[in-house]
Amino acid sequence: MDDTEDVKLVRQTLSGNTESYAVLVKTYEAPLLRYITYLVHDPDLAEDVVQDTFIKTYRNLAGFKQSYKFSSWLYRIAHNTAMDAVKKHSAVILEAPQLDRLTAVESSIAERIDQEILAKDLGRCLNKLPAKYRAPILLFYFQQKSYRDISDILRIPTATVGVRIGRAKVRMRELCKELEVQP
Amino acid sequence: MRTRNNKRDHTIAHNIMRRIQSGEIAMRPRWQFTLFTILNFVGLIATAIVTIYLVNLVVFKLRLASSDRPMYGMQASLDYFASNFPWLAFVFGIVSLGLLLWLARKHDFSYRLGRWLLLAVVLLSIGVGAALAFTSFNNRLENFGPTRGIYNGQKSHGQNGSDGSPEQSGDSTMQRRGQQN
Repeated sequence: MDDTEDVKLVRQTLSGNTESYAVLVKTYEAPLLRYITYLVHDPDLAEDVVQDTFIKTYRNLAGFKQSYKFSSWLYRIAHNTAMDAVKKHSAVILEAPQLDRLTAVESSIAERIDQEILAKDLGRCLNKLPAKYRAPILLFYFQQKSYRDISDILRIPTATVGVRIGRAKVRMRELCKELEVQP
Repeated sequence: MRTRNNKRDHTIAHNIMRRIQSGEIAMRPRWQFTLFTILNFVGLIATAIVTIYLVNLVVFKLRLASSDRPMYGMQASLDYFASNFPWLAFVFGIVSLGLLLWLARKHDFSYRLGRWLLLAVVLLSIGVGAALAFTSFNNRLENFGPTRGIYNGQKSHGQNGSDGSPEQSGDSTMQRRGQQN
C-alpha cells in the first residue's frame, strides 16, 4: 500500500470527490475484513465491523492528521470497533469449517497462501490465543505491518509489540502442541 | 486509480458509497476537531496545574502540622496525623493525577514513549508540587482572597493548640504528658 497515494485520495475526498473514498474503501476492504474476522471470530460480525469502520472513518476524515499513516489510522478505528463489537456480542469461537468462508474474500496469491494456511489447523491455534496476542500476530504475519505501524494501531509502545509477538509465538507453539497441530 | 481483482464484488464498498452519495453519511466539520484538540490540550494543562497545586497543598499542610508538634508516642502522633491530614486535598490530588495520566495517554502518539512518559508525568507533578511547598508560594496564596479559607483553618489550628475543639484532643494529651514529664 502506498501511503502518499492514500493521503492524496484523502485530500481529494475532503475536497468533495467521493469516488476517491470509494477507491480507499475498495483497497482496504479485503485485508481489513480478513484481520477483523480473525479478531472477532465471526464473519458476519466482521462484515458489520468493517462497514462501521469505513463509516466512522468517513465521518471523521476531516480530523485525520495527514502526517500520519492513513492505513494505521484506519486499522486503529477498525480494531477499536471490533473490540467494542466483541464486548457487545460476546463473540462465538469460530469452528474450522467456517474459516473456509474467508477464502472467498481474497484473490491475490500471497493472500490465498496465508488463507490456506490459516484455514487449516493453524487457524485453530490462532483462535485460541487471547486477543491481546492475536492482534499483533495477525498484523505482523498476515497483514505485513511493521512494529511501528502495529504500535500506532494498538497504541502500545514499539518494544511492547515485540514482547507480545514473542510471547504469542510461544503460546502458539504450546497451543498447537495441545491441539496436536503441526505448525 | 488503484484497482483490485477480487472475485467477490465489493458489497461493503457499494453499500457505503450508496449511503455517502445519498447524503445519509456526512463528514463532521473540521472546526469540531480543532475545538476538541484545543479543549484536550487546555484540559491537560489545567489538570497538570491542579495536580501540582494539590500535591503542594498536601506537602505544605503536612509540614505545617508536624513542624511544631513533638512526637509523644506513636498513637498520639498517628491520631494527630489522621485528624490533621488534608484528606480532601489528597483525594482530589489522586483523582487529578489519574485524570492527568489518562489525558497524557490519550494524547496522540504519547504511547510511543509509553510507561516512561507516564512515570515522568507522575514524578514531575509530585516533584514540582512538593518543591512548591518549600517556597513562599503558599504564603502568597494565604493572603490571596479566594484561597485564604484553605489556609486559615490550618493556621489558627496551629497557633491555638488547645482551643477545645475535638481535633485538639491529641494536643491536650501531649501537653498533659509533657507536664507529667
